[in-house]
Amino acid sequence: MKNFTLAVVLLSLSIARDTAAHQLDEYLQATRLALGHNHIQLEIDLTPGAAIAPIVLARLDRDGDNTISPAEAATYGRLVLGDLILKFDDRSIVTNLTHVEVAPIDALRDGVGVIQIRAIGGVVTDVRRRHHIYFRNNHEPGISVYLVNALAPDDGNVRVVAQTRNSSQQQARIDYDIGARWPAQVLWFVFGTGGLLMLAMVRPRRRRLS
Amino acid sequence: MLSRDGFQKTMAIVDADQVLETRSAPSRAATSQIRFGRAEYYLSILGKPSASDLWMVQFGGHHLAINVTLAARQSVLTPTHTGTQPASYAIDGRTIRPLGDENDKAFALVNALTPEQQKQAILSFEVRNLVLGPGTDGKTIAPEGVRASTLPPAQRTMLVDLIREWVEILGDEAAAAKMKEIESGLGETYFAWAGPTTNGKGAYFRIQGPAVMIEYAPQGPADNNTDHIHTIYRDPTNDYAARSARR
Repeated sequence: MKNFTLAVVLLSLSIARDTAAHQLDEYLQATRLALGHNHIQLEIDLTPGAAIAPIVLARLDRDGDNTISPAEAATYGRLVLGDLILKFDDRSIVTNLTHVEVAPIDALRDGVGVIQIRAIGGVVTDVRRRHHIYFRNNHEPGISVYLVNALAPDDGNVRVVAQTRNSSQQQARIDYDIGARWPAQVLWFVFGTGGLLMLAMVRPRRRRLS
Repeated sequence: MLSRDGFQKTMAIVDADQVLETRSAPSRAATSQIRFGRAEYYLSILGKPSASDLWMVQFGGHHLAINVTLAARQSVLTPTHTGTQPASYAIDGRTIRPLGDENDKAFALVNALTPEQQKQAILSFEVRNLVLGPGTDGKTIAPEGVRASTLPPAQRTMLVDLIREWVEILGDEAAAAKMKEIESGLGETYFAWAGPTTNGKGAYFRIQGPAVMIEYAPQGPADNNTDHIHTIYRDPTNDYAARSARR
């Protein structure tokens, strides 16, 4: 099974090489957003076409040594995050870079390499309420093609009720409904804690009565 | 492993790539590493062929990644990428459109929708590439478009017929089992469209259901995107026979 897993990883890479080869003069920026209980996760995949790769590489490979160091990758990741506007219920959200992975420089030059950026921002999701995320990507607008989508929530009580974008998908608003299980979970916690406290108070008394 | 139609489609994609190579090679820089054409397609076997354990067969190159995972008696085709450039070419006086049926059936379906259904199906923004392309295994996006449960039987039949274009690349028995699974979830399947509805122009579409995700994405700006197509066929629950792999 280990061999099979390795094979699948290699295969995924080969698919990436096939389908990532897109328009030469476009910087494809695909963002997926996920709302969790107290956070928003961002997944941003950036694929520079071969003709505009030098523009991106100039920002990535800052020392010009033809390799992208982890520090250079993280600096670029933070640069991209700095070009985003992310709001939750109209309040600006600060995002923290959690992961950045850059394809080999030759793949980027050929227009088949992907820069993967992952980030997270903290939010407070009140229960039984409609919430919305506003997202705008201002990174390299002159050369970019944008995609933005809500990921299907893992939590069955979070529901995407609407997604609206501008015509280029540079900006989006995603509306969510939070279902009823979250307050129920909170209630179970409150009742459970209260019950344990009562038990703790009652038990010593019984001992005294006997 | 592949159906007769699936094999023909596969070879038509490879032939299109040869046409692309013939057309593009003379203007390519001598130092360029980029190559297209028949010589750049590879057949790979991953794992050890077995009657009981998982193994895979891949055939692919530029614009093609046919992945068949074999798990005991099952054959799983997802994820599979098809694409073509050019979208139409001639061999021996015959016009060949490798993804022509996908294109024509989709345009027929979107034009069979009522204005109210089109309002739900047609997205108000451009989609210039695959949303769940490379590097997105296991991802599921929130569905958009018109829900198949709201369509009358004739339109649902058109949708199923469109889905067959990808599923039936695989041989008869495996494809029939997969179609049965997809049809059982048809009520929760969505059809979304972005772009013009006049056949001959480029438009993106997506079919998303519990056990299927298909995207068809013309490449390039709206005024010049009919000659270069990418598609992807996934199963969010069973890419690379993940269900069998978990057992």
